[in-house]
Amino acid sequence: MSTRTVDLDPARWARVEQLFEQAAALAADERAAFLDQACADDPELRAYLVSLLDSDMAQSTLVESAIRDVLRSTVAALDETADNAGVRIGPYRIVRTIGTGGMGVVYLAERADEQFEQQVAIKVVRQRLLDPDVQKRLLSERQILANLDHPNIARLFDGGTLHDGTPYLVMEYIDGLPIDEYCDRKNLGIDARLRLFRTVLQAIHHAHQNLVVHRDIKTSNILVTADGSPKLLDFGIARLLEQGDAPAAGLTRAGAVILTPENAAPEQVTHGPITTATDTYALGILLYRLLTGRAPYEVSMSRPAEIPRIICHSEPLPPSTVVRQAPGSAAVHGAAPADELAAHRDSTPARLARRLRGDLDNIVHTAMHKEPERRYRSANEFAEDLRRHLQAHPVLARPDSWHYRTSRFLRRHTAGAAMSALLVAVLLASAVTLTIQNRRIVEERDSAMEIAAFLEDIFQEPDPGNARGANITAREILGKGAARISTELDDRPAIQATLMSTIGRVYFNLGEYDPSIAMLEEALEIRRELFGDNDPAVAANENELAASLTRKADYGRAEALLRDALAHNRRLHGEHSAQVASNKVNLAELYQATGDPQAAEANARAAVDIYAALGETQAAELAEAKSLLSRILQWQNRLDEAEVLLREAIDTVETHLGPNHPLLAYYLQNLAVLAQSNGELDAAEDLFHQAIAATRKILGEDHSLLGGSLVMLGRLLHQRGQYDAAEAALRDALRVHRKARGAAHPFVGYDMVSLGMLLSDKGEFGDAEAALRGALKIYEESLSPDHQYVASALTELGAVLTNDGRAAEARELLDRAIDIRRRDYGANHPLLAATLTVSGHNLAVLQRYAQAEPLLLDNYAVLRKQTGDDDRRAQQARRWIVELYEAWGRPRQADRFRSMLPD
Amino acid sequence: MPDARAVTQLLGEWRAGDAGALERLTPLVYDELRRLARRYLGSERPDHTLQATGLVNEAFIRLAGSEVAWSDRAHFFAVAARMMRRILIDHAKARNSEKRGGGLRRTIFDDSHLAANAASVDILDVDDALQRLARFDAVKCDVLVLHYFGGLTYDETAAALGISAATVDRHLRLGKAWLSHELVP
Repeated sequence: MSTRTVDLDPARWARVEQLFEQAAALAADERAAFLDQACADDPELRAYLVSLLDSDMAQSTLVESAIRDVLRSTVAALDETADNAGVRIGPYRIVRTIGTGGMGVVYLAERADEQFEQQVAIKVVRQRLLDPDVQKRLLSERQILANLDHPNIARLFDGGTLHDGTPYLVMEYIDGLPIDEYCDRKNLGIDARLRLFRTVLQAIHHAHQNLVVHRDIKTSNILVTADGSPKLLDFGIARLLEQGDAPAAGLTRAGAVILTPENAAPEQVTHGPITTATDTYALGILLYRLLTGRAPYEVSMSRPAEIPRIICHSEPLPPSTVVRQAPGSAAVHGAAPADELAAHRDSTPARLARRLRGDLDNIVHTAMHKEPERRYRSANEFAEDLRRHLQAHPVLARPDSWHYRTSRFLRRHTAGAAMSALLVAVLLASAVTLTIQNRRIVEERDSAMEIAAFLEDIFQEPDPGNARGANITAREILGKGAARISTELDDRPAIQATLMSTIGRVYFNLGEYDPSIAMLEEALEIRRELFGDNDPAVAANENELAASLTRKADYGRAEALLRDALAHNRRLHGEHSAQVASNKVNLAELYQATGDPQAAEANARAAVDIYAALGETQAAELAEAKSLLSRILQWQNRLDEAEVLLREAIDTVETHLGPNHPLLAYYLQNLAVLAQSNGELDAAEDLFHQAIAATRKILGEDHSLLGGSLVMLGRLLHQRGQYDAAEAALRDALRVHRKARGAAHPFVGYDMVSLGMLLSDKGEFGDAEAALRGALKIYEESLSPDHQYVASALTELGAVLTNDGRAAEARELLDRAIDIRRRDYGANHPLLAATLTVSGHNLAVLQRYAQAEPLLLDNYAVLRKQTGDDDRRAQQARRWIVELYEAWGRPRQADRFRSMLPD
Repeated sequence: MPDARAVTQLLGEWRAGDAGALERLTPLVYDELRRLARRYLGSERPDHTLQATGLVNEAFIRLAGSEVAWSDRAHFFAVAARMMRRILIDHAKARNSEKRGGGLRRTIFDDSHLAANAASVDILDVDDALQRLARFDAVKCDVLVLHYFGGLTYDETAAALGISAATVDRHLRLGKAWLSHELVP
């Protein structure tokens, strides 16, 4: 023992510390001398310190090894997948492991004495060393199961403890499939699924009658045997509600487990009282899945903080809606296509939607209601409503009628309390604060709070990091909000109009012009009635409505509204006001769209001047006005002036709004496009990269604008011959657009056409064809079969097929393309010329040389003139002309054109 | 799955001095560590080095998400490290008592594949030594526990214990020397 343990009172230990630190800082050969001097009076201390310093130098890893050793052992002891075949548990012998659950392992076992042939399932707790409660829960499960006796609940046969005291349960072994798999395998229709589900409800009802709440109902806990009988399993976290229990007795303790978050009821995630209604909720989710094949919510374990918000606040799509949606679109979870899911229900998406609409939508909604009191009171009531439905009797379930509890929100928020960021943004972006200041619209402060409260009720904070997420949630929310405003605020027209125009404006910002117009028109009507024609709110409304109408090409009405608004605003606010400037901006857009560039330019310039004079508060508007003017000049081909203005707009934003403002991403892209139009390809390429970087940083990886920049960059790189880089950019664009817009959006089609063109030039005809056919399908379905984009896809596809030796097949496609082009374009239009060029090439390959020649020559001339010699299509045309003449046997003409080819 | 906000809140309460909060936090962490331990086994090969720290890191990410403040993270790691110690010690004790009392019948807890290494120490001896140390220098014991069982960095340890990183360095150096000195057989 000796020097190992020195008598260590605090003073001595302090001395040890001090001397150790000092000695350790010295070089090894200096230490001896130091210690001699410092411990002259205490040789024991000196020896101890030497010992410690030696240990310090030795750097042993004994402790780490010890930890590693026990860690391995601990983990091994937790091993539930080890092969335990043949091990005895009581009178049984393990055959194999069936599965591992939240609490323990389940083995398939048989009687060791071979007295009976029955197979059983044995559930054993493994982790009692880590969690002493686990054992208690198993004993509780045993008691619960002992009380339940129902043909559709797995029976308890026996129980016992292992030699070390670990308890186990012996239960009926169920050989079956999870209920959703069973239904899918047999392609059961809705009626059959409902009948199966009702049996499950009866089993749950039996449990509830015995005061047992299951708390973990999910598809894997309901197995259906070969004879079609469902069996309920795993009452592992079930709870016995004692008679006379206070509701708090059902409270889950922290850590006492929500095993399956997707199925968790709102009261489970907020630690409210758990009752039989909690099971009803999970049954509702189960029914949702059985009917639609989709999950109502998606909760990801990698973002645990989001789970309560999703479960407590987000509304799933009604079953009849979700079955018609493609995967990847808003609020649709899961990857299986709609057709496949419908087929498993012996139906088609359209028929399935009809079947589910109405009763079943309402029944599911009632079962899954966020508030426990509004769900079915018992599994029996649930089953009864389904029976009524199956027998075509009226059901109890009704569509929810929202009621809007002002008081609840007012209690939560006093003036100055924090509101959600989106709400603030909406309020700022809208004219709500302005109109609130207008005393005629808002009579009391409470109305302002009402508005804010109403908006907050509708708006939940979407994930700011995910642009697509924000758009989807906003649309759903807006839809709900719009409906509610219409029905609930009829007696408060002023507030109604305010909210409607706010929502209309938000729709506009989202690019949803039809609903925007609907909202704004209704708001305008209300306001005209309330306030007459000369009111500032009316003028503002007219302005906004005109903007939306312009986007939908209703130019007549838009212009009339704008002239009206302009006149009023001049009178109300004066010529140099923001309101007048805004009118002029919208007029500029209008004239640009109707083809009056001078009027467009005049209005845009006037707006710029007004905003510039108004100072920093109008910085964003000023930048946007300059950007608009830049575009107008661009269309007139005054590219240098356009560039100056755009750079000024960028400067304005950077100076007054910061380097992370979304407008920057848009402007940088515009600048790149501008440079490209100006023929400055190096600059354009560089600017696209800048735009892409900025967009990624400011708007995120999944924003549609990023896709736009990427596809334009890809096309540019293609044109410049950098095929690999081009392909990378185009594929990236595809990814982004798919994510941001959905797989069936025209932008995705555009990306696929761009990719197809590139792959064709790379000679990868198979992949090119696939891409182009994909694009074609998208265009035909999302636009119309005779849209000009369709013609573009057909043209490229025709080229690929022709080059791949399938010229005859291509012929039909090209003829179709030509028809579409001719409908809208005259002889000198480059798009028509491009299509005809490909057509000519196709004819040449088909050896119809006489027909091919004029097509190629004439349209090559057009292309040269309109798009320049460097254009890909022009170069292609030239090559094809050479090929034509060579195949035709006219070498001299071939030579003539060949000498014009770049090398 | 426990509410991540609950974890954050409990951590806050515990730091504010509510010792009971640690007890309420314990089962949350237990659940998570247990789940992770099970998962680690799937790809475990006997020669693969298991790190307690890996488990603790992942447990934190899953439990608390990414919105917890840095100092809260440090405290969480500290809690988890202490818990990890308890878990391992409990298991070692149970394993020893099994071996002492066990018969010939093959049991379900079977780690006979682990070979004894003559040049190693038992974790229980380490634990004993740490407990002795705690009697006259609790801070050092804490620093060692966080270091060995939680793999905390100097900064994290400093944040968790409310001392400077330089002080952590001092404690760790002498603490390690003391510990290995005590464990020499």
